[in-house]
Amino acid sequence: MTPPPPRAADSGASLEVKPVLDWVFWVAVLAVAALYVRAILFTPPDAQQGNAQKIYYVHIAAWLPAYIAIGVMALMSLVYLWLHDDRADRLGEACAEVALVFLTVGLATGMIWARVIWGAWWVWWEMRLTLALFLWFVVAGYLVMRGAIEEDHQRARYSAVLGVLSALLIPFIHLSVYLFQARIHPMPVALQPGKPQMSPEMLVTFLSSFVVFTFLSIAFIRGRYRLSLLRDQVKAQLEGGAA
Amino acid sequence: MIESTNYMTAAYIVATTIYIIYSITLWSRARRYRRQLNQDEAQ
Repeated sequence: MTPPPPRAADSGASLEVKPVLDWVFWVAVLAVAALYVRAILFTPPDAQQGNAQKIYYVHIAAWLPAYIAIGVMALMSLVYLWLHDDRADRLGEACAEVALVFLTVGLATGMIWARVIWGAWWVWWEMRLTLALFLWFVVAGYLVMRGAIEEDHQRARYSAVLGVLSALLIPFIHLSVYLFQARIHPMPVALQPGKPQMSPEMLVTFLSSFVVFTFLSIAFIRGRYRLSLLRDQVKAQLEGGAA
Repeated sequence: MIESTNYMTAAYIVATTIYIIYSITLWSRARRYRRQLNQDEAQ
C-alpha cells in the first residue's frame, strides 16, 4: 500500500516561497533607524538617570513583541492540538524563535540598565528578573526540543503543549512587581494615572518604540515562517528522492 | 544627573547586534535551503 501524498499545506511542496527578508523587513529596519535617531538625539535625558534612561526605549519595547509572539505561539499551539494543522505548528515555531530574540534583547539591555541604576548586573531575589530568565529558558527549551524530535507530528504535539504552558508565565512576570513585596524593579509608570508623568517627547518616543519593534517582530515572524516552508520543501524533496 | 551615555550606547549596540545577527541567520538559512532545492532539481 502506498502512503498518501503529502498535502500542499503540509509540505509546502510546489509552492514558490517568497524571500524571507522582504519589503516589510526593510521598512522595519528604516523605522528602527528613525526611532534610534529620535530617541538618542531628539528625546531629552532623564533628570536623574541621564542618558541611561534612554535604554527604556529598546528595553521595554523588546518585551511587548516577545509577549505578543509567545501569546501567538500559545494560540497556534492550541490550534494545532485542536485541528492538527501544520501551518499552526510552523507559525508557533516562528513565533517562539522570534520571541527568544526579543527576550534576549530585553534581558541584555535590562542588565546594562541595572548596572547603572542598581549597581549590579543582576539581582537574583528580584522575582521579575528571575521569572523572565525562566521564561527565556522555557522558550529556548521549546526550540531545543523541536530540534531533538525527528517525527513531525510527535514534535508538533509535544511543542504545542510546552507552547501553551510557557505563555502561562507571562501574567506572573507582569504581576510580579505587585505580588512580591521584596522588589527593586520599578512598577509601571507610563500612562498610569497618579504616577509621575513622562514628558510629551518621551511619551511619543516610548509609544513609537512599541509600534516599531512590534512591526520588526512581525517582519521576523513572516521571514521565519517562510524559512519553515523552505525547510519543509527541502525535506519533501529529499523524501521524494529517497522514495 | 549621572553621566551614563556609555551605558546607553552599549545597550543600543547590544540590541542592534542581536537583531542583525538574527537577520543574518534568517538570510543564510534561506540561502542554504534554496541552494539545496536548486541542486536537487538540477539532479
